[in-house]
Amino acid sequence: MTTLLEIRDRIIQIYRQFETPFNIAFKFAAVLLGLLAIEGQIGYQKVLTGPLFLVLISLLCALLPMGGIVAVITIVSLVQLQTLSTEALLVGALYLLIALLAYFRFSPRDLVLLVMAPMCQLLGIPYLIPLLGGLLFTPASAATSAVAVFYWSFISFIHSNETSISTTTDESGMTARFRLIMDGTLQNQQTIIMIIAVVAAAIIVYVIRRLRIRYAWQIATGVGAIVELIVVLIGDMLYGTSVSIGAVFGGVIASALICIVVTFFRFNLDYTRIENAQFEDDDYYYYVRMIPKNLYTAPRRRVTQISSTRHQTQRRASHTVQGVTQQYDEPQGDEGYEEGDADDGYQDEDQR
Amino acid sequence: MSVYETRHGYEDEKVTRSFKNDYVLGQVLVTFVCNTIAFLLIAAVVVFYDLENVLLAIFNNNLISVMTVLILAYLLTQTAMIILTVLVYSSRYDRAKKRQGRLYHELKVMEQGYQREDGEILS
Repeated sequence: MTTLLEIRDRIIQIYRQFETPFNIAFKFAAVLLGLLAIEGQIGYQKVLTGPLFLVLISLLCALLPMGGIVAVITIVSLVQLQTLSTEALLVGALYLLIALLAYFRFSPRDLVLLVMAPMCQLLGIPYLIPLLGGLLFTPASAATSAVAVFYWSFISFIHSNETSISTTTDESGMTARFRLIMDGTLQNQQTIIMIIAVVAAAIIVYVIRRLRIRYAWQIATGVGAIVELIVVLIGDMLYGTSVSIGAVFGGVIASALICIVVTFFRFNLDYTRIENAQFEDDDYYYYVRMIPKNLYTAPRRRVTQISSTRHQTQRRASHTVQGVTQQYDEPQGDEGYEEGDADDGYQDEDQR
Repeated sequence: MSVYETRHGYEDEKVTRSFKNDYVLGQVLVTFVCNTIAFLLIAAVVVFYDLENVLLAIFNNNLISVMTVLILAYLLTQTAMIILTVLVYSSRYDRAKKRQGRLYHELKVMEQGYQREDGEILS
């Protein structure tokens, strides 16, 4: 456990030191993988599917805020839909407008989940989004997760029915294509089941992790993962949505493991050393329950220097610098301090 | 304090610049307009989707019932969105005010510390 805490401490120190480059790298990776996932489904405009374009867009998005990234990804998606057919563009723009007016209007703080959603779909862990939302954000992450699921199901439907939707095969029948897209996206039972699963998981995870119980975050992750699994499996049994059970199990377990790692970094408490205290100030009387965090304590280093005793008179001096106690002999007279002496006799406390 | 100013300070300043009622009312007006536009869009899509039945309803002098359903749906969605807006933005205002209050308290403590130091130096 100490080794894990040390590794965690090191990672956090490195992240704090290089926070900006890490954030930029994360956004670049998330956007690149997300665009790869989206272009894999609706990559009809060949110029936009080229590696140079993808890298350039990802570099641009790495410098934008999350709202800007969502806007760029949306514009890329709409351009791809326009290449396929006008009806697909119209329906996509309509859904976007409604989402803008009803959801983005509240300036959600968890747009990073929306940016990560296509990447998670590509990696087979779409169930991670509601679990992370419930752990790190508010119950409004349920809406974000639902929007992410709906968006992915929309572009998946377009991909599956591109022949029927494309205007190149049939110039007439605009209304029929329009109705096909609307029916396919709004009456898709798999989408409805997934939306129910992610909304329920996000809300349950948030409620449980806010409880004043031991291992609240771990329990929340477990329960959220189980809820997602149960809802998806029940939906599959009831509506025959032909979901791959192995993929669902694997995705849920992987998502839960990632959330456990996130909990280890974000909310790591030592429940074996709980203390209760009472105190008061001028206004209130406090009953406090204190749970210490699991922190890594660096070992104290004791530096011992062994120098020659060739001086007639010597003074012993010692001082402590940043937890390291140094004892050294200060030479009198003209004899100076020789280089290399500082490293002699260095001993780590743990090695004694 | 520096971390607060970097993360929340600018946004909290914008939020708490006005009184709570004014801030929430402003957001409610924005929601009203956004919701109206969204509802009109959805209504247009529904009409286009089900044009046949809508035209039949009009020609069968059933327009009043259709309009009644539309107006009721509009009022329901508006009410729901306005309630949600009031809850969300009231909560945001309260949290911003609380964070600012903490910042001002800490600034006051720091200023008192500086004044004490100045007093000690002068004496």
